[in-house]
Amino acid sequence: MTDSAQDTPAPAIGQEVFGPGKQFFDNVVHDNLLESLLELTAAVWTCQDRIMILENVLSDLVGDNRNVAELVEAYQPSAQQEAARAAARAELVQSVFRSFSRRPVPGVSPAQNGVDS
Amino acid sequence: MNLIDLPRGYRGLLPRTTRLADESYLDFVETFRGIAGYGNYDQVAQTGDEAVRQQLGETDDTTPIEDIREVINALPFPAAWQRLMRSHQEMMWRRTRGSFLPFDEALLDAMKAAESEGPGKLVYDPNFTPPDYARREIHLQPGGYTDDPIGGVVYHYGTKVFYAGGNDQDEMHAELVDTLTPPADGVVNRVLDLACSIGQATTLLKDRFPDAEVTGLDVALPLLRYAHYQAVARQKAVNYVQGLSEDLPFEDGHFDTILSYILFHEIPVPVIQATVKEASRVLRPGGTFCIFEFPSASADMPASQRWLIDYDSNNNCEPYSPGFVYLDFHALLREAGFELAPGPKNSNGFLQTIVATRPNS
Ligand SMILES: C[S@@+](CC[C@H](N)C(=O)[O-])C[C@H]1O[C@@H](n2cnc3c(N)ncnc32)[C@H](O)[C@@H]1O
Repeated sequence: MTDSAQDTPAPAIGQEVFGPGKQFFDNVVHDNLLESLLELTAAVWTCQDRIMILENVLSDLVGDNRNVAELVEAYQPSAQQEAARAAARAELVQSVFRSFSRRPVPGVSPAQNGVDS
Repeated sequence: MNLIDLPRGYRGLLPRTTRLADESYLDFVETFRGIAGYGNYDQVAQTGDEAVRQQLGETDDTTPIEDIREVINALPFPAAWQRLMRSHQEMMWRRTRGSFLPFDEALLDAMKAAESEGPGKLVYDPNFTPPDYARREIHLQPGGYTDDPIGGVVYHYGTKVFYAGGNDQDEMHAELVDTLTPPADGVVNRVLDLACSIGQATTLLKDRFPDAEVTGLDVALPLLRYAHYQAVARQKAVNYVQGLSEDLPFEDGHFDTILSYILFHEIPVPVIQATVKEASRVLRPGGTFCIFEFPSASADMPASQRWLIDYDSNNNCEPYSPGFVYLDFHALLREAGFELAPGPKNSNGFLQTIVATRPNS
């Protein structure tokens, strides 16, 4: 019933994500811009997140002479700090992607546009 | 036996990424998914349904999907949404795998060492090769379920992101297990988690039915190895078996209850048909087959939902989901002798839930 795979070599790992990728716009530049925007935002967040954690670490450490970089890597945020990170992250996502919801979309009532409301 | 020594340890059940930068990047992907992916889908659906109404008139589940695709894909907002969905899904897997790959040897050694330890067993045949249909890179996961040796940990963290933070400590699996419908006579001696992946529901089934023998079956050895290692480290007495749902290695009437969470839309139609027959065979009379699954098409399924399933199939590597959605799954279950009742409500409103009972003959 199922095709036998006895002689099938293992497929290369990651054909889907490491291949040429998909195109959704007639003009592929639009695809590329949106993808760059995502990566850029991820990079911005990654920096901001580290800084927030660094600040947390440093404030815990006042007067102590230990290796801050290692402490930052190993840091376990409290539930409260975790919630603050999640909130700031959501704010960044909202602001960078606001353009997708602020301009009216055909067929959607204005009240439903706008992530912020 | 301890958990694998990862540089940044664990948060509860979940391994932490090996660098803070990976965690931050993936947190971004997760938050993006929640807000711009799930959050913006209603707008995609509204604008899509409106355009379909204008251009095609009233539609139902017999309207060719090609026509619906052509109308909705031409709209800028759905096009952007698709782009962002695909791109962020790729980001999720690349970074997740990239984070754990430098520790592959430690991960593989620890999983290997766990194989000879209990309380539960891991059963597989080293000569077994998964069928080709099961080796696709479903959801874009590199190597799919079957071909990346560290696929277990990659799946664990990747799906944490997929569930947008709602399953970090297996909360969603806990809901499945809590709402599972046992047989009416209350007798639960043997339980099967069919297509158990990394055993997130399997161990919780053991917690709910501590006196029962609980087995998780899956085709993917990398996932089962990780599941078994986790069960050993946490001293959960569950057994894992590598095998095929369409050819179950169990006696007739062996199980009192079977859980199947989102298996059927990931296998081809002939395998779905054989799996239903096998589930009926290995359940005892009065036993329950508890199914949580993609929706089945109906005349009132909105065009936008049919478009979403089509998008997901073509762009998120779900090659078999349309086959499932357009199959008369309920009729198939009845033909196999099951009596059907609606299953419990699930907080994931997209899923259908069915309790299929094998009648007392
Ligand atoms: C979406 S996952 C299931 C999720 C899982 N039930 C959970 O609790 O999270 C689909 C699973 O089906 C498995 N699978 C696919 N085809 C199979 C088959 N023919 N027999 C057994 N398992 C199969 C895959 O390896 C994968 O682990």
